[in-house]
Amino acid sequence: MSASAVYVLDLKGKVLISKNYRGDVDMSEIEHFLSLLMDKEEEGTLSPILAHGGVRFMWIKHNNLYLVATSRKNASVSLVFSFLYKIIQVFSEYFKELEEESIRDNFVVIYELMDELMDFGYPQTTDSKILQEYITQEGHKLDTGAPRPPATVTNAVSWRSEGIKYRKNEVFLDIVESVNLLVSANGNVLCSEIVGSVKMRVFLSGMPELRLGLNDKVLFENTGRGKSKSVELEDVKFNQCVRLSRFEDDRTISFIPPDGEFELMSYRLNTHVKPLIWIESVIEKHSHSRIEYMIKAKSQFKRRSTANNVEFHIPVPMDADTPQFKTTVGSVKWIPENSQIVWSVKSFPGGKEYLMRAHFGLPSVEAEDKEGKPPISVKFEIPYFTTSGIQVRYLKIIEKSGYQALPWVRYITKNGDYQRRTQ
Amino acid sequence: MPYLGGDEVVRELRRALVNPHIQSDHLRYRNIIKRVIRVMSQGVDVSGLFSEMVKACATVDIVQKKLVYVFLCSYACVNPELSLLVINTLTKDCCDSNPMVRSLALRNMCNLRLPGLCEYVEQPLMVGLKDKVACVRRVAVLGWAKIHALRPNTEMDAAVVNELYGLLRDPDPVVMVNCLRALDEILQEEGGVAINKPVAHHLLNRLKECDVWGQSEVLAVLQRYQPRSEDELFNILSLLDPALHSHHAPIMAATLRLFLSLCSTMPAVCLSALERARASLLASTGSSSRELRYAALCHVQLLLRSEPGLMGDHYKRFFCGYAEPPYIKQSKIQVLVELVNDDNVLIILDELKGYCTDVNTETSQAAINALGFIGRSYGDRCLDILTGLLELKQEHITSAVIQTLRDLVWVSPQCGDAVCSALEGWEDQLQDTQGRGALLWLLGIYGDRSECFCLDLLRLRT
Repeated sequence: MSASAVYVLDLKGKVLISKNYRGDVDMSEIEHFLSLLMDKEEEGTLSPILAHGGVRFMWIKHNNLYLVATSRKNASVSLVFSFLYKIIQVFSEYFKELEEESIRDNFVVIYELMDELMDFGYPQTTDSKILQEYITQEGHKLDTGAPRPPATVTNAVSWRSEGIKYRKNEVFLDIVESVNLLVSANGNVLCSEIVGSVKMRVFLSGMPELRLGLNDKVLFENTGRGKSKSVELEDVKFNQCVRLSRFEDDRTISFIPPDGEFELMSYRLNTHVKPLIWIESVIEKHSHSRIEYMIKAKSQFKRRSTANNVEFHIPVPMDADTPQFKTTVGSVKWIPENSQIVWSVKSFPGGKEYLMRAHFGLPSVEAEDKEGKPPISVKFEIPYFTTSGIQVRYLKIIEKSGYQALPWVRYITKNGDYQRRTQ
Repeated sequence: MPYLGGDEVVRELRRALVNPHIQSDHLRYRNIIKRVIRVMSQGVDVSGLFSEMVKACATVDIVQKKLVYVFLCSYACVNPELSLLVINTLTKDCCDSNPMVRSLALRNMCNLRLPGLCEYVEQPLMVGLKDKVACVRRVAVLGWAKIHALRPNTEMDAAVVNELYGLLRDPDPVVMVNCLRALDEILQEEGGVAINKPVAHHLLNRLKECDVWGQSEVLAVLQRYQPRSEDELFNILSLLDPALHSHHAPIMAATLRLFLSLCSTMPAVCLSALERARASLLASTGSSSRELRYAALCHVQLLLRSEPGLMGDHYKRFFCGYAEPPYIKQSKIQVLVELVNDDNVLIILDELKGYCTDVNTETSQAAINALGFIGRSYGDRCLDILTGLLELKQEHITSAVIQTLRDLVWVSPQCGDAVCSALEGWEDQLQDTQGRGALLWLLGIYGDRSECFCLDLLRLRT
């Protein structure tokens, strides 16, 4: 795949840190990058790969940084981008917030990391848990000399070290389902799917073997429980620690977990249930004088559940002014920088309907440029609730010292890309 | 900190580096080295400090060593003679008891990229290939590739090549993959590393142990292998099957490519592979990373050319989100055009109508062109939409619509009448040459159908 060099730039195109892996592309080529980017943006033909002479720039943007990889050869583009995103993930786990300041303040660790992440343009060790074992921010004590590479760098179970010990052995499972919904302007549901993620936080000693039992439809049918309530998972993707061959054979999810926090699996399924929060909007625009919004929100899930921190983001024209709001519940705020109003409802129980009216004045002189029509988007969180009906039936923990550990399971449904288009 | 000119800073740093008090205090010495690197990162030319930095190399502090190596690798090419002074320290470090120090020294010896150093580097590299610890072997393997890159015209010693082939059986998967990469580069003239049956089977068996990068490397290399019998072929396919559903889009794409090339004579197998990979491919089109989404969309476009029915009913996945960048929207529009059939034409046309008024002119033009394509099979409905768009009286839209109408008429002359009646009266809107040219062409073809057109022609001339 081979990248030639990797650079981290600030928003003005100045190089903050760079590493030349192959030496076949001159390091000064990067000076052409930002002007190329600006030109393309002006023309409206921006793309992830820019070319100058024989050199290709593959770039991504993160906060106020650009990460750029250069190459002269026919590198595998999706791999280079995967690698750039991996760098961002590793750096974010080290520095929490990854932005210009974090690069400037931690350049020693970053040089060390860039040395280990890639050699001669080929990715080497990219697992952040492993890297954190021998590249640390506190620096090394001067007397003890250099650290030794952990056995995990050379082991088959490369994601977990030996000899981990906890006083209290616990496991936390969070099943987070994000709902993606796209409703057209005339009320048709164009797309409705659930993207689920099983996240775990593992605080267990030793090298435990875990087995997770879900109410998986295929598993139930294989074991003669086809009639029980089950969920049909599509597109299941597992963490590298899960034994895929066992899953293919008999749908058992068995694994040795990494220590700490990680995502065990993700799944996707299309759903035909009623959208959890249904919005209807009536927008009356009287050019040159005023625009009126009437938004009706209905919660279509069972009464004993409640959605928390619900926010409706409704776009308003850039030149609107003098807002007036009236609502049965919650509060409305106008955010002129984003050209939207946000209707916040702290607690939205199931089976209820709420109304919000808004009124804006419009200037008598209309703006020259045409504005786009962004959709209404919704944010919400419903704890102790899953749309798909997925259930953790058991979590078996087996370790050679035979300790008992407690699993804690939590379900939560939240918004993904939840949008309703307007007329 | 007051801003000092570049020269001032270099002088101050040199004074600090040669100061014996600082040299004896490890922490202060390390901090000065850090300052040098920080200043270097900010773009100041610190090459004048080369000899002082060389002396700083001989230390037990590994962080300081790494920083000095960063400096040396950047400036070695300007100071080749002085770089030779570092060789002693580096060679000593290659025999250090700590494997991290060994691997660091080996790696940086090769990263100095000085052809004159090659003779000194070869011996430590040979020893490194047989090192007990895997991380040193990994570095040594790639080190040989780097040496080859420095001296592209010199033949690599056959003993080294043999040793690298041997290391394909190394227990550490990263060493194995690094060998593949190194051999590919060294044997480039001969077509890269030779994949015969034992090597191919060995790689396939170890595929699961490799990480994402290793797997994609192995899958790419396996493209060169041709199985001898059908049994062998099917064994390979069943081994690779789980990778078609892989978590990582690049692995799935590489496996798919391998499947398709291995089964090029068996279309049924190809089709079933495509169908199994379809879910993964569709999921990638919704990936959170825009670049991967774009790559997945390009894949889909490519596959649809040979298997038009591949995406089936999943056309809704290609509807554009409001905030997506133009290059993704335009790709999705192209895919939607390929997916139109009798059942979904109304819904897709409705969607495309929405995109025609997109804020980005390129995207709206792409949507209008798409309507033109679909219009070849579903003429009336598209014409209605297109004429409706003219009512918006927006210049770039009108221009694009006229051009699309021209293309439509060229391909399906039967819509000529409908187009004519739609055209009357819109010539004032057009300012750009493309639009006017299209209108002129249409007038040329249909000028005899309406008197008004002749008047329009005269107006255009003035």
